[in-house]
Amino acid sequence: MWLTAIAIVIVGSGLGMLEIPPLLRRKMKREAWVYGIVLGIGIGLSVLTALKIHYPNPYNVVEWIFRPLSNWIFGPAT
Amino acid sequence: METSVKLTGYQWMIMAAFFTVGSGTLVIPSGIAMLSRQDAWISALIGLAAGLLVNIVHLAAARSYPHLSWVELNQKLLGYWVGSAVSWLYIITAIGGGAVLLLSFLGEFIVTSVLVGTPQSVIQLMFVLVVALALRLGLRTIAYSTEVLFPIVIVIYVMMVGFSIPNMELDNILPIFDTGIRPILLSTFVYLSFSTMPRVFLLMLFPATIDSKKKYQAYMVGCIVGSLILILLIAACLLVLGPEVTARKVYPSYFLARKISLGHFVARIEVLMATIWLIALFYKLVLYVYIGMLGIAQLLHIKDSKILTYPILSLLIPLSYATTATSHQLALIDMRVWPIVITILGFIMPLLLWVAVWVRKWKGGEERRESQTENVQHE
Repeated sequence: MWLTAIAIVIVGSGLGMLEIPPLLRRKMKREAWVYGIVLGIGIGLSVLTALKIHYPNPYNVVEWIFRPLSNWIFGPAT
Repeated sequence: METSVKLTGYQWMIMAAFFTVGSGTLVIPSGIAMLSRQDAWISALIGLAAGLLVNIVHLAAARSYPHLSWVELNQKLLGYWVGSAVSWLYIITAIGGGAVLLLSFLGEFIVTSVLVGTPQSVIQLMFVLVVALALRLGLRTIAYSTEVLFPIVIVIYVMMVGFSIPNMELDNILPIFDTGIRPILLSTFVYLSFSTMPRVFLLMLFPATIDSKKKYQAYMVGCIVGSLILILLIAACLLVLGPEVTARKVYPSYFLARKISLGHFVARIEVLMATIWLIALFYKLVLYVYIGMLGIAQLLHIKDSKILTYPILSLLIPLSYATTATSHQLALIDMRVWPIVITILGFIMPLLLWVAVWVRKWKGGEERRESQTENVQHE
């Protein structure tokens, strides 16, 4: 568990260190920001998953939003 | 830059076919047999016809401004802010819905049927690495590789269905039209939501990448080829296994291939069936992520969408864990939520855009007529 999380962080930050500096050198600041933020979210979620820490599941929210409609179309959930 | 890639009509046709078949070959048969039993093939046939109508709606929206991408089209017709918000919805659904669900299916299938006991994340990671390779090489490479793999898929597919013919029994689909109209239409809806309506995402590729006068025909032909592959497979599943088994098995077409035994010599070739599924699923996944990247690049004015490959792929595996938190949850999202989401994005939105196009044209015509009458008065 811990090992997986550490490996994810190392690989993820290594990826960032490999790919972000060339972007900055080419004056692509916006790209570097988007890269960093999305990769950060990805690493964060992966670490949480590896450590089996519960975080609010986005799919439950979507399911909750559409529950009345899906109950109406497909009948109540079994 | 990537946006200048041009595909030939043939490549475009294959990609449309793969996108249609996609996750369907293994999953759709049980999903729709659960609802409409022995009449599942009828609902698939209705699905083919209804799918063409959906295509007409999609293309009508896209064709009215052939030089604009889907994101730009949204922004032009709905205004900048609303259009951007709608485009974000499409992108989030393509990556967080389409791509993640495909990856979850892949993990579940391999872990439960082929490599039993392997950790799901290992399989998903290996698959995602291949996807990353494909995305980094660009759409041109992806398109050329489809040309290599499509004949292989067709040969394996014909083998599978052909070898199943001795096992078929016509009694399995009798009595016809016994289940009633509502279950048939419901399962048509499920069929459409897995094979036809997701093709709205392919529209995002239209203007920048496809340069062929026959692109619309090629697209239509691809859709029909994909639908026929699915329908024949559903019919084969029903004829060989019967509606009960088809509905109960999670992967009926895999089970169908397991039943093949020619003179006790050609047997246990079900992995070939999995090959078809993996190839089609690979391209569908690649296209989903590619389309998501392209959309993000257009919305945030990023020059090269390929830069985003690794960050976006890093999201897929943890999100796929979130969809499979319980095995019940994947089925819930898949069968009850996805059809509704994709109906809104894949049918209702293009219809609204089409209406918006008409309103604009009508208003434009009105203005032109007014200015003409003004001119007349001035004279």
